[in-house]
Amino acid sequence: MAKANVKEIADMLWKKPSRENWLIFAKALPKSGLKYYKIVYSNGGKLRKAQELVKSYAQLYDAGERPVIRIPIFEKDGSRIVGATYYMKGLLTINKVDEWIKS
Amino acid sequence: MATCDRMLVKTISLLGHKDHGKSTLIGNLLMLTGSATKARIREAQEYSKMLHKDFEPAFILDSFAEERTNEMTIDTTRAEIKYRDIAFAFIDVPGHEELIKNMISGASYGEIAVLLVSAKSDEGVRDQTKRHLFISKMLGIDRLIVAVNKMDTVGYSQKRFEEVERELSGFIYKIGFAEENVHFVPVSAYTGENLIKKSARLRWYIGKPLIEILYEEAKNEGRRQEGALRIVTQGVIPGTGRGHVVGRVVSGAVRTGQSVCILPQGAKAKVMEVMVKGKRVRAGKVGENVALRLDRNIGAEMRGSVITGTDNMPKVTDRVRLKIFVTGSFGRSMYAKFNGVDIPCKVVKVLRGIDVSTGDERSSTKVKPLDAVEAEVRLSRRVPVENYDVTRELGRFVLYTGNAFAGIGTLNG
Amino acid sequence: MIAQDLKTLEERSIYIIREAKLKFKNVAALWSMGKDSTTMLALTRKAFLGKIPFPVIHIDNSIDFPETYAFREYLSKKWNFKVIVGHSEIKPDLVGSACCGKNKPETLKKIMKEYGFDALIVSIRRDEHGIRAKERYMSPRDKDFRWEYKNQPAELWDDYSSKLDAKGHIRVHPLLDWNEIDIWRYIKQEHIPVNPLYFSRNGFRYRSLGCTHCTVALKSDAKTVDDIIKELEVTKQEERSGRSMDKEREYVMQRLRALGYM
Repeated sequence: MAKANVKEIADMLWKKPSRENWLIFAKALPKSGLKYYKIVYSNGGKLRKAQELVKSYAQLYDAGERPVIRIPIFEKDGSRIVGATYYMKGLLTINKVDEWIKS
Repeated sequence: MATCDRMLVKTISLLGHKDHGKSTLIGNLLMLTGSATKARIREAQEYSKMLHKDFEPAFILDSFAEERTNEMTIDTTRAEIKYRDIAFAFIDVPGHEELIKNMISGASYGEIAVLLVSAKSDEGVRDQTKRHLFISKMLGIDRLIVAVNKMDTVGYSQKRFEEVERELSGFIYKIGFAEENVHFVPVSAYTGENLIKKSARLRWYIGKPLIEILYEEAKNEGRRQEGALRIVTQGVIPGTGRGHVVGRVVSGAVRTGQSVCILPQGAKAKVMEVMVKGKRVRAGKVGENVALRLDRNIGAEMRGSVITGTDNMPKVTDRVRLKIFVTGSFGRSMYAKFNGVDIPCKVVKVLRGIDVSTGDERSSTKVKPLDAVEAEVRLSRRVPVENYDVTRELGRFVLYTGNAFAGIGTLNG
Repeated sequence: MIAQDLKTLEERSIYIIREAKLKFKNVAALWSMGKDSTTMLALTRKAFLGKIPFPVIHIDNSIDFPETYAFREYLSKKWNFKVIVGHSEIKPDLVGSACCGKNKPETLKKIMKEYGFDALIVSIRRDEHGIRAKERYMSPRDKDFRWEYKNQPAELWDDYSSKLDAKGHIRVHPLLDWNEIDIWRYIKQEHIPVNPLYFSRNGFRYRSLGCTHCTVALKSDAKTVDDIIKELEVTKQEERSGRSMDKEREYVMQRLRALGYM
């Protein structure tokens, strides 16, 4: 699984974060070269409505802790919106200091 | 706060009337021993400031905000006070009469109790205090430290201290405390005198400060290593073959290969395997939860049964004579909670009434809440029982009438 | 923080977990993949000769940490038990505070009803701040999950339960006497697997886990269980505080306001 495809998958998720597409992402993850994540919530982290999930994202990094792609963190099927961090299973949190201060 | 060492945690019941200074005692003990975190103390100070009050150590304890409103502890709360290698977990027991139910729950945790009594002449020894003591003795407390508080308000008078001591000791010994297990200590919870260190103003007192006496008593707490085997069973868990009987060893020890008797069934069996915490062991000791594989199926319900050796067995009966501290009315549909099972029962006859504030027999045998009776109780089935002083678990019953708590009973003498 | 005698704690917990299974008709346990509930499962295996003889429930709000989901799968496979996953939602019209608080109880209630559970093992500890200091080993919840703390039943001696109304359930707390440090010492002693989020990466780690939304990381270099124990021995930070010392005053003000003082 080439690393270039990863950008395609990210685009696909932003366009349509359906369960089907998330499963494609989860399957591609192990060989994608991606290793870390950082979740950034819109609204300074005060999640009150499902809609706010839509504006949040996860920054994904490679093994060298370099940012690679950004993906959404929600799944949408019809009108139902739920979180999608389950599909990121296998990635590890980055806990990077400077990123922390920024968000 | 020092780096934490391994500490022995000892539960201490704190009894006494609500106005006699218990919260203050705890607060000051927490601070003087360095057991309260700075954050907690600061929070207490903030609260005091906002409520426009002088800083009260009592605020440190409160975990329920409402308590601060009424300045009364509503339920039992815990405070852990560290001294040398022991952490005293004080169970503060509320004194309000309506909350006697909670008080009983609190008192039943400890074997050592501190009774706080005010030295102030208009606050002295109350009936309620005596009632607490009566129940405590019933619930297994056999070491008592009577802290005579507010000595700062009576001019640190030795005469007043001795007056209080005299007033209480008669009753204390009458209800069964042994002299060598009772200590009287003069203190001031508010100023902190004689809690940790002796005070110059109590020079006439030749004993040790409160915490030291507590420490000694805690260190001396005995263990029931010797004694006949008694295991109270919880049931059977699936395992290899016919499963394992699980229960707690409350006295003695059980060994692999030992012949045992199961009561009230009256069945005999051999212990093929003893498991403790998932591992096979040669013997299960007091305080351990065991899983036993026996050489046969016992058949009937194995919950609330007692496993014993083949000699020195407890009596099996459906009639018991109990000393009962009454909390509610006795009625038609009563049951007794005994070792995890509910047994329908009936109070057949009230033999005598006991006045809990004197320990004497009452003239009437009327069943009154917050007083005691001695009564004959018939259970709907036979159970193994033993004197409370010999094996606690086999001599205590919690009585209910319908869903209401009716009383606690112990089998004595 | 006091480090207590682990043997005594272990025995008490094993007793309570056995009681929960043998006394009630249908008990289940809540699992959050955190250190406390995972320790509870380890104790359960000790109590039941290596097995976990009741259902384990995870109430999932769908925005938990990826590591937490991975750990859920790892441990359930390793220890051979099934997890009932209840999905709680983040409603579009949710009013008020955090996502976790509002919806999880609803989901749990549904599951309790669907499966007919009459008792629930929950891994709270008494040293966790506030109202939890009043809990008992077994406490009843009525059908609306309310807990009338003023009417707590007499928890006498070793008989921890009380009669409850038919639609309610009993909450069982086998870890009530354990401290945070006792949990870690036990984890070390028993080599219990834990969620990797507890360990430091890039100078930060998590001390207590919630979902990705509400959990705050702490500055720490503790990379192993030993490091964590050492760190706990000197720290005075309350486990659930994300509050800095500056915010303490604000916190106190809030509480007083809630009480009607200001």
